[in-house]
Amino acid sequence: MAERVALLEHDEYTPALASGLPEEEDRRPVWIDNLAIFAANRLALGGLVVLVALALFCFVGPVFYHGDTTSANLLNENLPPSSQFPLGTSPEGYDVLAQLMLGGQSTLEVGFAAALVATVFGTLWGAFAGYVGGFVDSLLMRVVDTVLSIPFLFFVVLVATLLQPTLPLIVVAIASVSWLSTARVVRGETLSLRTRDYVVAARGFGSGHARIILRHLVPGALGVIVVNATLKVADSILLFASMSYLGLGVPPPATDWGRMLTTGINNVFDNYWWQLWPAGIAIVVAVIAINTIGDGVHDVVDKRIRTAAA
Amino acid sequence: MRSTLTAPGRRPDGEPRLGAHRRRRATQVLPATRGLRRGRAVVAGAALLLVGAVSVAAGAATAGASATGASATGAASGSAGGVASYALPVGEDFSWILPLENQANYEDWDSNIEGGMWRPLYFAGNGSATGVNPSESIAEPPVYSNGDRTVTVTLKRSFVWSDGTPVTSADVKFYFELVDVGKTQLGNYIPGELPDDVASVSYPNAYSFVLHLDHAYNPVWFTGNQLTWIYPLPAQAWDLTCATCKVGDAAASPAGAKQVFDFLFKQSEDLSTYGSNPLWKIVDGPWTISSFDPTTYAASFTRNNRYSGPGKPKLAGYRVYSFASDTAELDAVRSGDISFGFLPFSDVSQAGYFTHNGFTTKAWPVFYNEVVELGYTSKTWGALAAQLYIRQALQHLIDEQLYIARTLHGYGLQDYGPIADYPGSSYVSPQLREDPYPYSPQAAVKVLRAHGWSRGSGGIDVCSRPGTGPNDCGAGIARGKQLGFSFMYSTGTPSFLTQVEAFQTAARSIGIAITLNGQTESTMFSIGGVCPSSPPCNWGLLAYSGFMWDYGQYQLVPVGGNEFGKGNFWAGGYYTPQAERLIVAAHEKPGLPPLYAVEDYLSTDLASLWWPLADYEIALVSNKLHGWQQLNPYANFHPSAWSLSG
Repeated sequence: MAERVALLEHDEYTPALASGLPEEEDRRPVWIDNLAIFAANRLALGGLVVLVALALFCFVGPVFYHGDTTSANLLNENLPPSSQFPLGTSPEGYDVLAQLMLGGQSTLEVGFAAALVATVFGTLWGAFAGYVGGFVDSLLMRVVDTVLSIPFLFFVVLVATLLQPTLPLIVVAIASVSWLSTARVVRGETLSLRTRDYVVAARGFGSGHARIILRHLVPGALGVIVVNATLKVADSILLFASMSYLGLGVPPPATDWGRMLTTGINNVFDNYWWQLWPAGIAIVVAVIAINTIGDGVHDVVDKRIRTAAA
Repeated sequence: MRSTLTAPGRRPDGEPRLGAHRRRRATQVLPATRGLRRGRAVVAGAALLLVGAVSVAAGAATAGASATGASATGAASGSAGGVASYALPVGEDFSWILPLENQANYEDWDSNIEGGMWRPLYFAGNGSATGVNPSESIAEPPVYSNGDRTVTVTLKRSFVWSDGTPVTSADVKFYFELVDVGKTQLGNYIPGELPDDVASVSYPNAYSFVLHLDHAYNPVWFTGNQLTWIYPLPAQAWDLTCATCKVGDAAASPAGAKQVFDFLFKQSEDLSTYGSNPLWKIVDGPWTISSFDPTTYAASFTRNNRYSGPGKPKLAGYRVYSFASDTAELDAVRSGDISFGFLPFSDVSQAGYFTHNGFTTKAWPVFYNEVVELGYTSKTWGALAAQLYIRQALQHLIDEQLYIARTLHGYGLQDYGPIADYPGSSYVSPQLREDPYPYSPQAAVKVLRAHGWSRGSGGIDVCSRPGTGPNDCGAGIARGKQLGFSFMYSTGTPSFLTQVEAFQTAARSIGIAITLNGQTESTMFSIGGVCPSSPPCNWGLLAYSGFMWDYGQYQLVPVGGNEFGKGNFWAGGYYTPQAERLIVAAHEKPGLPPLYAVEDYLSTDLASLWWPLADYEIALVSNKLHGWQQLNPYANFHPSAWSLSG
């Protein structure tokens, strides 16, 4: 307790330290401990490697491989893989390999950006509701319940109808339905954290509400937030793919993996496998990779919680 | 009167009228125009589901490509003559039975099915030729007299109602009594046209009637676009105002006629009673409805054994089915549930599979048109659309032949005007057989440079010579204005999207920015149309996949007035006095030359951008079904001519 009070006085509190880890372990930086726990999960480590490889493929790949993804050329339609087009061409004559890179950029960008926005907003919303409690808490959570009741597809169709879909708009659209679960999780965590001694002490030392939420409650819930965020990335990628599959993604010639999947499925009976499998596999691999990373992060958080409890 | 003709496409209250058009899937339009922590396990499950979907899809592809011996001919079974089955276009359904159609059900498939039960005065399409089918029509060819101000029509004596009552001029009189009071509720009604253009009707005997017109009309137009609206209706069975009322002569008075009209309309709205309502059992056509599923819209029709007209059915009956997707339809064909279906254009590579498994495929071209509307009344793009030279430049970027060859696999018609280049039709001007603005990006560049456009930063052309002179950018176009359009297109048709993207690429290559905005067709019905009277209106170009205008039972002659006339809804507000004069002339002056004149003018003036017309479908028909090969230009399938074997 004395140690925690001392930390509060210096405003250097971190959940890790607050967890009461053995002194000898505290001598090592926390992130090294975390990394070690994460690395112990081979699947998670593998997921991280895959995700990095995908990111390199999508963002660095175009530096080395130049294919046309913006000029439709019907004379090159539906060509099978060849030395000129390693993954064949689309019905519009686009280079599928180049599309896979370009589409991956937008897919990953939307996935991570939507998850970030949803996590930040959901965290603040949930932390505030949980911290304040009472009527405000009820009101805020009823808002969450209400928004949750709106069918996602209805919402995105409406947005796509009223506004020209762009990547930022799609990020906002996905984030606007993704923050809800984060808010609920963080609110639940906050309800527990707000009665902890260090929060009570902070309040007693005159910390403002914003400071308590941002410097004490949110860091305290950081473990579940991070785990949740990784899931949000995967969720967002799938939602984006769904939107594009329905024709509600970014307008052509811009592309993404979901749109490529649509093209592939449209031509599935034509045996244009190169239009179906690469995008489909890319989505699946990305989602599974991110999920395994989420598993690894969860292990880290879980380990520290259990250690703290012990 | 003709003055009312100046506002086709609009209701008297000024609201845009869908009824004045023949746009596909208008049934979806109503609302706006007429008047659109999950846990890890869950996420992983979704991913795995995706894997599964991909695998299943791929597996299906393999199966589709390699399966042999699957029977696709088991569609027909039943009593004497057998029962065939027909697949309507995806998303379409038969949901209106009264041959006086409301605005939501005014489409070819409605009138075609209705026409099998109640014969129109003049039947649309003669085999695969355009125009009237004299033998299937219930009347002899009309006789025009008095300087084309009087039309005498004689009914064939061979037609009787299924209750044994002859079809007479009294049934035509009953039709006019109803239409006179209920015209504004009809989908095909256009102010100034039938019945407004008929000053009076006389009935000299039981088998003839005389129309006294308000002034002279072009017999070609009047027969093809006015007389085709008339359906003799069974007065002896339908002249009643309630289900339990006795049949009488209520329709003799306007008030009574309105009650009868409302009653019949109400009955037609009651889908659940289609198969049982005695009203619908009294027919003069070869078919009678026997059952209807209001959930799936599946309808069954049986042979009218008392049908007395030509072309008596060989089948015992036929069924009509609706499908929500191409995949569902094709699966139904593959499983043998459909004897007359279609092969989606995107699945054309499967033709070989089907032909080896008991099916025949055949292109079904139709007498429609396909255009890209221009937003003439748009505040953003209207000034650009108004310039003929810009329209010419845009038209030079549409490679119709390439689109047909590559995206439609040859299943399409070139379209250079208000009607596509339908083979052999006398209604198509000779000029419309040739492309007035052939594909040539160089020509497009030339015409733009000649009018003061130069390449700006970002590769987009900008106006560098504003003004209204012959070599300037044109009225309303300021210096530095970028040349670009928002192009709203209907999603869901891959071949169409490919065409649109090819057009976008061609435009970009010469400095025109085309921003694509895909919307569902039903949404487009809501936000398309005339700008800015139907907000939100945010398009410069707009196109529906498949086709724009479907000429059919109510419009055999493609004058284009309903689409391009003053006050139109479906051409973005296009209007020129010359076009209006020519349209009126084609209605009034005799012969085909006035029709050709308006077609030629609209074509060269680029009232809309002309776009290749996809065939109605690739008919995919069981080899056990016969007699279907002559495909009607108005998409009127003709089960009376069908027979089954095996």
